[in-house]
Amino acid sequence: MSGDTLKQDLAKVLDEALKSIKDVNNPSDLEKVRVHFLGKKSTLIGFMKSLSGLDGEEKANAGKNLNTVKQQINQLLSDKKTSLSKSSSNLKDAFDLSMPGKASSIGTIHPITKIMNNAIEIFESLKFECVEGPEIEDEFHNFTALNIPESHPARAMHDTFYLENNFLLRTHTSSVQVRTMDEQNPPIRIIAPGKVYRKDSDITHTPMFHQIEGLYVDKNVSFSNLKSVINIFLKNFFEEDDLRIRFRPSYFPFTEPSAEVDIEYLDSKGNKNWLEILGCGMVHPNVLEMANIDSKIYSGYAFGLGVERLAMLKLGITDLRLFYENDLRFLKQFKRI
Amino acid sequence: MKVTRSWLENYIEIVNTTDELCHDLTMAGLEVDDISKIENDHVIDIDLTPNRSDCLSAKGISRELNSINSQYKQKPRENSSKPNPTCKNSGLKFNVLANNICPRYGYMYLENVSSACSTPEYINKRLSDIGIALIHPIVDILNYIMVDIGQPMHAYDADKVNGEITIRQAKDKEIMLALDGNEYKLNSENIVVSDSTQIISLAGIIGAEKISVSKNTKNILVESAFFTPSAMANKARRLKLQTESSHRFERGVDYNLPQEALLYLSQIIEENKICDFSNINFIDCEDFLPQSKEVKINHDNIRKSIGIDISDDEIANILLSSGCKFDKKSNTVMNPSYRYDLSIHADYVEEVARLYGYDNIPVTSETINIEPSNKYVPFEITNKIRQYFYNNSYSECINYSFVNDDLLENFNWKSEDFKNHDKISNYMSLEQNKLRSNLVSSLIRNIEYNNNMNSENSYRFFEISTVFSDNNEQVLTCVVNGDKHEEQWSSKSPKFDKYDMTTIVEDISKLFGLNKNDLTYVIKDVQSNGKKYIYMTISVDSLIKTMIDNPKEQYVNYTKLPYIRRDLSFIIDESIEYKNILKIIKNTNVLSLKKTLLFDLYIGKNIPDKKKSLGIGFIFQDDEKTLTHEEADSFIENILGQLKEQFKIELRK
Repeated sequence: MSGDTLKQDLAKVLDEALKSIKDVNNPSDLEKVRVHFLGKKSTLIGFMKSLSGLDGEEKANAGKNLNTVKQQINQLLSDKKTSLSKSSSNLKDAFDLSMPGKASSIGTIHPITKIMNNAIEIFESLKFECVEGPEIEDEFHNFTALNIPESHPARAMHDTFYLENNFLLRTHTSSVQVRTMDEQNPPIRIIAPGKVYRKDSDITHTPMFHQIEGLYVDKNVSFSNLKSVINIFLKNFFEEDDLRIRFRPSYFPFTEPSAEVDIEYLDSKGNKNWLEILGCGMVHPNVLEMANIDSKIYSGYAFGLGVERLAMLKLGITDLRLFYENDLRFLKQFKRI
Repeated sequence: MKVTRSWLENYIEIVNTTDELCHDLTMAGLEVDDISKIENDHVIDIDLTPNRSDCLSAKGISRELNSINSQYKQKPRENSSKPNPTCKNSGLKFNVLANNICPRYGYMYLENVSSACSTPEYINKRLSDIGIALIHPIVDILNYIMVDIGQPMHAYDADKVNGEITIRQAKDKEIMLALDGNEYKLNSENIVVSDSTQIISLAGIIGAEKISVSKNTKNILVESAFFTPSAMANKARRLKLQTESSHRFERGVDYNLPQEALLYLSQIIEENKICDFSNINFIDCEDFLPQSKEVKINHDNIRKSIGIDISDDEIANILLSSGCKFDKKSNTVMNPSYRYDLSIHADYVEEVARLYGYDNIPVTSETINIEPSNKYVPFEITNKIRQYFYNNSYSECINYSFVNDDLLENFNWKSEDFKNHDKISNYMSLEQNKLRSNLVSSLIRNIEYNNNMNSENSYRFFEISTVFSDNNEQVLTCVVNGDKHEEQWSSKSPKFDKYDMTTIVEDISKLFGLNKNDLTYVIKDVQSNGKKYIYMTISVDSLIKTMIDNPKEQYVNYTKLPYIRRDLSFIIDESIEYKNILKIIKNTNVLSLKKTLLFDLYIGKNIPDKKKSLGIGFIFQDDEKTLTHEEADSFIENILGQLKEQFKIELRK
């Protein structure tokens, strides 16, 4: 190898190094470039090894040239390194307000929970106290104590799930009324929210759903008080002062008089319709007597709300089953607390 | 209950539109489900509540409309004479054994029914309008009378009846092949009508196939009876059977109707010259017939419990309009025989409120003398937990309490015992035949479902619910799968591991000022369909109990003197649990040790097999004086010595 060819080769290497370093845009690629041009297996080191075959002055000159190129490449690498670190800090300075943030930490609360809490809050402000009762019940608390004897045709209205041990899944939260009246003396003013079960499944029925039961027993409680409390609740819940509400006579074995309450709403075509929203009534004297409360002194009202129905109306949901599919596309629609 | 407007007009004058009429019915508790228009008429479908059996007929609904509003004026009935029988009673003998259940049994013979006779045109039309199929002229007339006035009757082929007819209890396992083509296995709680050889009908419910009337039947025995409602209740339902007849008898048919119905039948037969008919016969046992009850009306109680200002006279008028007898001197009221729902004072309160109009009752705000109640602690606790999960990007799920026999569904969350959990005896599907004893499987199903639908890289679900096993208790479970975070640009998300669940347990314990050891919890992973899920369950019930027993937050004094930290890095058997290391450290009884901090855990390269490397920081601080480095050194020597002795640890350089 002559000194001239070496000179030419070195110029070529330097040229290549210039281009490669210029193209690099991150530190790890820069390291690869360094290894390529200055590493043990690089062309430059190969030239170094071949120097041994040259004579005195030629060897010295060639060595000098080699070192110059090596230094030049080193300089280029270190300049590039500095510029790279600068540009990465530039990224931080160049904050883009429109960029999405990092992982969000906000989840979702199930709409049933939200609606339930919403209703409970209103009733608590009306001085109702929350109580809970068991989901697995006996016939006495679910039926008998609520004036629904074995032979009563009303038992056909409840399609009950029975367990193998003769217990049953409560068909309504009214069973909690019974348990509370057993333990407490009037005045009693409670709500009992929870899961209930009925053997039914279609677009408007699921085998499990949620209810909130309300009960007020005291001296001088009247049907007209019941109308008042239901009015206050519904207007607050739907956040509509002009909400139209009507009470219709109905039948439940555990209340008398009994009523169903409808609210007026606009359907998708803009027509006004009445929609049943809850059942209520004055506690049947037999129910009071069975709980050892003197029905000559005390009277009371009770009501039962279907939470799913409230949720459907408030949130505009049309298929009841959506509540239990737990599809994220559904759940994520209710991000608000 | 379906009826046409024109049918009602047979009984009352209607000036209102059908919509107005239906509104009146609905607002009186006879909810109209549907109105459908037919030629020159409307079919009205009323969803009757079970207490109003008196409205299971056109006559009953008309009567009710008249009580609601007297503008529905009752039309005068034509004075129809009693037709003269055209044939004799056949020689059949009757014996009512179950006269407590059947206190009134009426019958009549029809002879020479021609196969050419036909259902009168107006009956044909009215039945078709409300969707009742035509069967046989006599049967059609009986059906017509049932819908018109409310009395169910039954027709037997008289030539097929053998010997004496008995109304009796069924024998155990006695079988009857019914008109609907089904075989019913009976027992002693069923009441049957039988001849000397076989059951000819299940009383008040359905007739036997063999004795039924057909096109070629010549002679017919018509039964028009009264069966006690309480005795009829549930009988048909137990046999998974419901007929128009059983529906009426179990709710209560007026005991005066059987005569009226047979008389009506003979009139229709005579008018339309259908066949010969006998006189009307009855076997009565008055003692068991329902009695009208006298109830003393307390006007003040009515006014007070409804909350209306109504005069005594107005109350009396409302009750009279309902068909009750009211004696103004003694203030006693008696229900009409068709109103089984009027029996105690509260029933009359309801009747007054109903006819007064619920909408006319004023809204009176309450005066409550109850102390404002406290917030319900269990809900405060569960809502706090929900809030925590919400703030940590978890989604709350609510699932059915039902699961199937799958192994995954079937372990107790605490013990992982596989037990026979509460089974539902009348489940709807095998997929839902048990009550779940853990929430894990439901939440895994939720993730699997979403993965099919949405395919996310990270799933974070939780649920709070009661689970059912030996003790039914409320638990909180969260299940995670995949990356810790949703896909985003800034860095690659780590995968979930079990220590992420430990963090949650610790965080939740902190929310309530507790230590994780105060909670009952498990952290596990489980495989389902080839995927690994990590889960954590905490007993919410025991948390609630702890919180209710637990005192309030209290300040504890702390020192402001400087602290000294010493770190130890050592290699120890992989199997030794951290809590045991902490226990040894605690047992050294170094009072100045304020805090122990695990800053490193390493298993892998440069660490021998079945060993792990731990890095623990110790923070020493004395409450009274500034600690010296020599003291700190002696403390750490003490701790190290104990650890070496107990676990043969090896310090790392």
